[in-house]
Amino acid sequence: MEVRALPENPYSCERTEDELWSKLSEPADEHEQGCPNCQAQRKRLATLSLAAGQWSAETDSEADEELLGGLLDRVMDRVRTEVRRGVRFTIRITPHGPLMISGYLLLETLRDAVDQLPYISLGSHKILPGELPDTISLSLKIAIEAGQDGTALAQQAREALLTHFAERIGISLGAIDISVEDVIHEH
Amino acid sequence: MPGSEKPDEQQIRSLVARAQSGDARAFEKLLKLHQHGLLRFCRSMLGSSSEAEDVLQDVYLGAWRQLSTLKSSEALGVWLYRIARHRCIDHLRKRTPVPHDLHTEENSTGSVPLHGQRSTEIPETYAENRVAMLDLRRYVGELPQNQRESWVLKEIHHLSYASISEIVGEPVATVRGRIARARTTLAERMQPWR
Repeated sequence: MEVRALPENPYSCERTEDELWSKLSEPADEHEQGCPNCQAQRKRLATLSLAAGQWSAETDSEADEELLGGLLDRVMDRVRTEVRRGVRFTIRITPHGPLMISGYLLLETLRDAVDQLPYISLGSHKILPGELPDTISLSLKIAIEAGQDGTALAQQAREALLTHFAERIGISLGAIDISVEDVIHEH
Repeated sequence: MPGSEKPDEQQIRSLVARAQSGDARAFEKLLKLHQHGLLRFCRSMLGSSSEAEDVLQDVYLGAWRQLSTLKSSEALGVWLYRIARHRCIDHLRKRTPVPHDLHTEENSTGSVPLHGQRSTEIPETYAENRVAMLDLRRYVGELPQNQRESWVLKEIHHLSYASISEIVGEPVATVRGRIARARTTLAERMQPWR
């Protein structure tokens, strides 16, 4: 651990550079107005403050926007590829071998089902192998809007999930564990 | 969640939880909240736009692969800056030493771009301020790395001492000392502009 003292106060009064810097945007107070050291140091720091302020306020150029957009696209392509390569679930054992389904597809189906519902915001969620044959189980945490009935919304979410999984990918669900974890307050 | 509005804390918590569950779209939204700051930080650390772009790509991918280590959504920005700092330091260790010149990120013609010029400033004043700022960038680039990162995080990104302490993994007192030393050095070097 680096332990070094702050730079010594080079001024004859008690005000440190740190104090002067933190108040530089304010008008000089009574002491500073009458103190030649503080006046000199305020002038000395003002140049740095102006340049730092301009640097900080600098807006991103169009070129930066393009650069960041392209960069994010490239990264997200790789992220999505990694996600698609993820875990697979066995949903049926047939005489010809197991039938597998991508965890990515199951998670997307889960998200689509919950995202269409009003007053609910999906948090963490996961897919688990079902306890019954040919099923999978879901576990999800949700936030609900303030003033809404959490039990009723959880039941709506459960029904939407059953419908989505059955109609979209023909999967039967086992347990659907839903936990209301947060309340969304209107601003 | 409206697309263009900045999400509130609850929405960010939800996005973090979703991203940690493998939701790539949620992760993308989280990155968009910090991408400009991270790019500027990497540029400040490396003094090169092209290298900053390469490192930032590593930062994003590293963040995706380490998402499970993010314990609190409130610390998302700090967590991302910490990853960025580590990647920048790794990059600096590997590269052949070159003069750190932050002028090079401005343009290749050497002219002073007038992007963002304030209408109340006369061009001469604006141009002088702009050149002073470019000088400051160069002087910041010449600071020791530990002073440079702390000064940039405080004065350019306006992070608190506590957040910077978390990012660089040093006590607040150490961070304060580094920033103070950097300020003293920079104020001295900027004297010709008075």
